[in-house]
Amino acid sequence: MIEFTNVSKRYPNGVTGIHNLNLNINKGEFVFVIGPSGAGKSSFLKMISLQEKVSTGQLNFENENVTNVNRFKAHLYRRKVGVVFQDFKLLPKLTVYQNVAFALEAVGLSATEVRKKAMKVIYLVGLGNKVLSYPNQLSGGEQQRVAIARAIANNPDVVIADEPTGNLDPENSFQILSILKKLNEEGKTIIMATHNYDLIFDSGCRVIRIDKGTIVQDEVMGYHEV
Amino acid sequence: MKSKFQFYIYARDGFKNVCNHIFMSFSSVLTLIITLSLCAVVFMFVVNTNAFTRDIESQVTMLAEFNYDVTEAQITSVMHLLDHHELVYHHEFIDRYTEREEVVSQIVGDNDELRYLFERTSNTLADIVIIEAVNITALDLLEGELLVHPYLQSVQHPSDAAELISGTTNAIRVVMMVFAGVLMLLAIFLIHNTIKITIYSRQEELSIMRLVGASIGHITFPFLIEGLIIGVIGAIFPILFTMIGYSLVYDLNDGIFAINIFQLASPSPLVYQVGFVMGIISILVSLLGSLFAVAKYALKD
Repeated sequence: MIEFTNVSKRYPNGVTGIHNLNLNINKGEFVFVIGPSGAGKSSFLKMISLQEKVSTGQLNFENENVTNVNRFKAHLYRRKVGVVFQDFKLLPKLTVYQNVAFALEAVGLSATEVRKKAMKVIYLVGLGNKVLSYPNQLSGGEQQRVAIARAIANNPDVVIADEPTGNLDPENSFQILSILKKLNEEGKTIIMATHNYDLIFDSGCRVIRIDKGTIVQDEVMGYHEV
Repeated sequence: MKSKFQFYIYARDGFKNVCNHIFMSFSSVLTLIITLSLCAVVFMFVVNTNAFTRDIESQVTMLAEFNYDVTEAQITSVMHLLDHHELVYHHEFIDRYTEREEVVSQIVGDNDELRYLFERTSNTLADIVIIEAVNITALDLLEGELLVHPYLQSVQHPSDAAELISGTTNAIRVVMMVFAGVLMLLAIFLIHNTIKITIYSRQEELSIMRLVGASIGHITFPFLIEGLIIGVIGAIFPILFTMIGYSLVYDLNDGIFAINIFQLASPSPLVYQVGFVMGIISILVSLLGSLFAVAKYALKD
């Protein structure tokens, strides 16, 4: 589904984020991405969501080359990829419903469709009773659930989570993980960067370790020993 | 249904942007008001001087001045020549005293004090004959003939006066238009800055919109609408100023500007036409400002 072929990412200041990456991620996989700070995890995830451009190499998504996608068509690709951030990135002046609806309005849905889909995903993440709450009235875990709801509102094929549990306590972290696993069971491909190895143990998922911009380990299924 | 809802979202966000930066929006509106009001004055000036110049140039009348020391017999011989001239349609002799009285009446009106002052000065005017030619071509030929007549010191074609007037008004027009052009650029710049501030304050929101797959149109339209709102509000006062102001000037001066020969153009339909042009300019200026601000952001990768 997602194919990296000799992909490198070099920043204008000369720093190499990713070096000669070759990787395939199949549809429906749950992939953990681990590595020390500055290893290139975020660069890797940002390239998938087109937040960063590939410097050299080729990136394919569903057999389509998206390496140099036209800026007028990039938005169509981005609708297939949902992104969840460590710091939630909710809009503080909007309610839970409005934060989710915002993502649906941005893609041109009608009022009825926005309402229907927004409520569906809000209930899916278990926040049906907090629809009219503002972010500052929610706990960290609840805010992250709203962020997940927004990320999946457009029914993307892939969900990228860049350290989604980074600001959460262990209990909330596992709650978030269970939501992501539920989405994975429904067929979505989940790619999650994390420092929280407790989440990885016993997960039975694929784990990719990145260090200094290259993949140093890639365990498919089984347990991963850190 | 879908496009109506989308337009509602764009309009809602556009209004929100204006309100969130009300002082910047106000300064942009004020600049537009000043610019367009000045443009309206320029337009009215141009229209009236063009009409006046055209009016003069279309006349087939000219004025011939007799020499200061002309005798009765010489006047009679010139009048006889004009009576039988094939290019002359009509002619009228006006002696210097009658002529002076007409000029003084035009200038002073009912002001007796000014009239008294004029009457105390000596009469430097010459006897004249106003000649109406059969057509424009005849006017030119006649002018050539009369210029060399020994009893006439000068022949004034209306287009000579028109040339002098249009030369002066052209110069004034150019200065005013340059000034209006500079103000318009300033207005575009101010609106551009207003929109940029909005973009900056909504950075997070816009980055989330890009991330979830909002199209370039969806990102840019609210800012264009913000510019449009500024343009529409900025156009209201200049349009009212044009319509009411010009009509007031026209009514207060009975359609005459300064002296009788300068007839003002009728307010209708001029004020509506100029008002319409002001509206279009206002909208264009504000949309340009918005477009410059938002294009760079929207088209970045």
